[in-house]
Amino acid sequence: MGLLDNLGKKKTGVLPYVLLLVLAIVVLFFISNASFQQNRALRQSTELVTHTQEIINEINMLFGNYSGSQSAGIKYLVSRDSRYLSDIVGFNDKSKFSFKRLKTLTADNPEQQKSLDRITVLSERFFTELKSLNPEITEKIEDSSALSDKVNAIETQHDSLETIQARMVAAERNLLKERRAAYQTDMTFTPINILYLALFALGILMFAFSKINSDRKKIAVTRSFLQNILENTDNMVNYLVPLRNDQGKIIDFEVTYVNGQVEKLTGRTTTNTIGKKLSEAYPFALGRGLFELLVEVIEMGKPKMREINYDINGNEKWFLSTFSPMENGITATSRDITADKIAADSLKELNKKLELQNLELERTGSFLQNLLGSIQYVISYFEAVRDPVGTIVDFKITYTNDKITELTGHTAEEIMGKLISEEYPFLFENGDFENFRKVVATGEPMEVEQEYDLSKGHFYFCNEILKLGDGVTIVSQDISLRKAAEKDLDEANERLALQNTILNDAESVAGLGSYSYNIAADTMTCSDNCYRLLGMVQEENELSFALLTSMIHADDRDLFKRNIDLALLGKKNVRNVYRIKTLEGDLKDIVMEGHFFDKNGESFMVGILRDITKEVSNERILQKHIRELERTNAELESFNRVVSHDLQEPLRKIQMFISRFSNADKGNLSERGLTYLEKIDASANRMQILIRNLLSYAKLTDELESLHSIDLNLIFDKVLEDLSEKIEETKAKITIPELPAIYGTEFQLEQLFNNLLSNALKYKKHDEAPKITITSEILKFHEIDESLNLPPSQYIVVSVADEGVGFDPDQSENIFRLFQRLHKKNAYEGTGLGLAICKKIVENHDGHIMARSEPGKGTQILVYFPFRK
Amino acid sequence: MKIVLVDDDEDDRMFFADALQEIEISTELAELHNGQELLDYLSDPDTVRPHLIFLDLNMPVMDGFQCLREIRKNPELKDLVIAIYSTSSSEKDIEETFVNGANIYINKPNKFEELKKTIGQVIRRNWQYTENEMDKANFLFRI
Repeated sequence: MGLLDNLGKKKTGVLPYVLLLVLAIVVLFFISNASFQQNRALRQSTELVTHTQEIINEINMLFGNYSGSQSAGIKYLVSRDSRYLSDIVGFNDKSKFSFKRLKTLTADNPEQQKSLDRITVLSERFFTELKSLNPEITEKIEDSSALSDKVNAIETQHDSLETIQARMVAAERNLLKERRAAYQTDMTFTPINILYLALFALGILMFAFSKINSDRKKIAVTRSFLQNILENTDNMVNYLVPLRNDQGKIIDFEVTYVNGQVEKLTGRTTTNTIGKKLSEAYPFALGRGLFELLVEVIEMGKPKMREINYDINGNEKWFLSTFSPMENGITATSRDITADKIAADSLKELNKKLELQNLELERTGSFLQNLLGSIQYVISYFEAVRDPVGTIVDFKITYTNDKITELTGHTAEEIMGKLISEEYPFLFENGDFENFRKVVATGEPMEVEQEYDLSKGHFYFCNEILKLGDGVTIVSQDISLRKAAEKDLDEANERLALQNTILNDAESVAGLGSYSYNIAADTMTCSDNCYRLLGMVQEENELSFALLTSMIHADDRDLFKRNIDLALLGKKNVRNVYRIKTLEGDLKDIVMEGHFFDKNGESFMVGILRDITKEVSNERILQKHIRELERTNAELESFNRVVSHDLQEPLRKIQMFISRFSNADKGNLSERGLTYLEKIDASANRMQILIRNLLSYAKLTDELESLHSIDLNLIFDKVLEDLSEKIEETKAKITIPELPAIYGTEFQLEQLFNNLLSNALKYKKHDEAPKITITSEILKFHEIDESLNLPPSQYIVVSVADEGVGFDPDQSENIFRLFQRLHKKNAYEGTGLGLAICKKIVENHDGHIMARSEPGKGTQILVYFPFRK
Repeated sequence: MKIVLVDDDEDDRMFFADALQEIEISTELAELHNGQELLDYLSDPDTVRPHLIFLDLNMPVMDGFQCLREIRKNPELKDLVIAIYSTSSSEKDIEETFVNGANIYINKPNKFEELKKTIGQVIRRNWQYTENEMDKANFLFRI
């Protein structure tokens, strides 16, 4: 268990050791650094001591020169030996050299520099004093006091210098003393410090080593433990390290570890796997998405689990693999689940089969149930009930379907299990029981039609009895409807026969014959009248399509064939007229109509033949009349043209010439001549009016404008205006009520009422002012005199009545004729066209005009207009 | 004022010339007998362009309708002012002459005084044919 504890702790134990090692290294680094620093300090101390001593030597050297110079000077003064003068120069040079060296050496010491500056001044003075010693000057120095003065001066100078020397040396000595002390200290402490630190570092290293060593041992144990586990586990373990290309992309994996299970399960030996690429080690794993999965595990850093099947040496194997990302690779642990898989698959297969079977069973069951429930038959199974001897004495109803409810009112559940002696006792009386017994005994099926009085009514059944086991299955078909239908059919047939007779009579009356032509079979059936129409006797000739074709007039036969072909092709309804030569030899015009319909997969053309010989001949006559009428109209038109132009032309000239008679010309004429001229003029004018009226009468025919609603009040306003002169002249009294609107053309209605009013004004009594009354009323058709022969409609009747001269009622028809004048030419002016024009206008409006009159009492003209809303 | 009368009827030409003389306007009248003569006359470079043409409809060789169409077809002549002078009072004829470009329609009168009045009325108006300003009220004139 301790081992396992260690395993668990392993990760957390590393950190202190690493810290310790780092500390040891830091300490060692510090030690080396410190010793280096110490050594440097030591060397510096040594150098400083040497330096100070050098300075002291140099000071002594410098002042030695000064002392030398002094003594040489004094010696000269004393001895007057000029050799000493040259010595002074030599000492001066040397002192300058020494001074320079000293200046350099003490460059770092400002105090000494200050002293040196002072020396410069003093030595200048000193040597100036010495240089003043030359033979000329010396010659002058005779007395000893002067000499001693000189010597004293030199000495004083030298003493000053010596004071400085003493100060400088003292200073250097002090420095030397300090530096020596420092050197001593450095010399003592440095090695001790290094020793202590080295010992400390050694201690740490030893501690760390001992720890690491003990851990190493523990890891070795753990490792062998793990190795043991890995080798003995059922799982296949691989350690895979990704191989990357230059771009850092994973291109493959290297197998760095496999356990023994790998060889067992895959047959790949360790030499074949370890150190090899994944693709080489496990070629069968290629293309299973394994590589992509491994890359994903590396990149996501998360473990994955996957079931993968491989084809290893022709065997399909299933592995459940876990891929765990490690520091620099993947641990792949795979368990062989092939056996589980096979077991699971076969189980699934089995389940599926069972399910299917169940479903099939359910379906069959419900199908049967539905079938039995929905069919229109009563299905029952009666099981034989036998007495101890074995004779069938009864039947037990073991099954019956729901259909029975419609017959007996009992549900199938209620009936099942009962005996037929309880439920259907009547079966023992009508022979059914015996039939059942017979079927059970012989095994021969039986079909019986039977009548039953059940609680839901009276039924006819056709029973099929079959033997099944020790009992019978009875399939009962309700044939009540069929029985009723058979009865209906008989009645229908009777009715049909009657109708056929009626139809035949009708055909005969209407001159019709009907036929039915079976197109595919080329057979034709025709009504009696059809035969009669074609002049055939049904008993002697049978009508066929070919015969009918041959009867068609030769000129029409091609057309007939073409039409029939087209009709058969397009199944289009046809209607054509052909001339047919009957077998009796008559030529008849026959309309042949045909319609198509399909029945029981066969196509039929059915239709009628109708004799229209009479109509055709009537039509021909009518056409002839129309042509004649058209010709007459054309003649009339050219006549109109003659009247309007050619007749007017000479008349116009006559009038023109008359008008050319100037007053002078007239003066030349005799009285008679003048009268004649006037008469010619009057006649010409009359003729002009006549022609104009005739023309407007003729025009009425072709100037039929479209009719629209016209207010008669407005028409009368206009007419009164046109006739105002005449009305004033005759002092006529005209009464006009509120009038309705009628359908018509304005211009014609104006002319109509203008003419009528003109007449009323014209044919007044000689000595009386005319009195004219207009009235209007709407009459229902039955209120109108039948003898007028008007088409049925309501009519607006407008009446124009005067109290003028009147005329003989016998003439009341004639007055509407052309050029019909009742009065003597001179009594009333007129052309005899006015009323003819009126009649034509009224006829143009689908109306009627009539006159009532009595001589001396007056005339009433009645105009009928059809009333339209 | 230059006026041309085209009419095959001698009497009518006489009435017209007489009437024209009695009007107090100085006019110069050229009398022609049919449409073809008018076309020839108008195409003659020596002809002074007339102010007004009176054209009968019913004529031999070339009738008034045909002549009217020919004149309106010709860009040189289409500005001429043309008065139809005919006995026909048929609406159809009148309509057709206007459709073919007549400016005035005159029904030959029955009385000489009337003729004088009509011709005077027509001549006194300052007719000018401009196709673009076809103002029917002013321009198409029926007497």
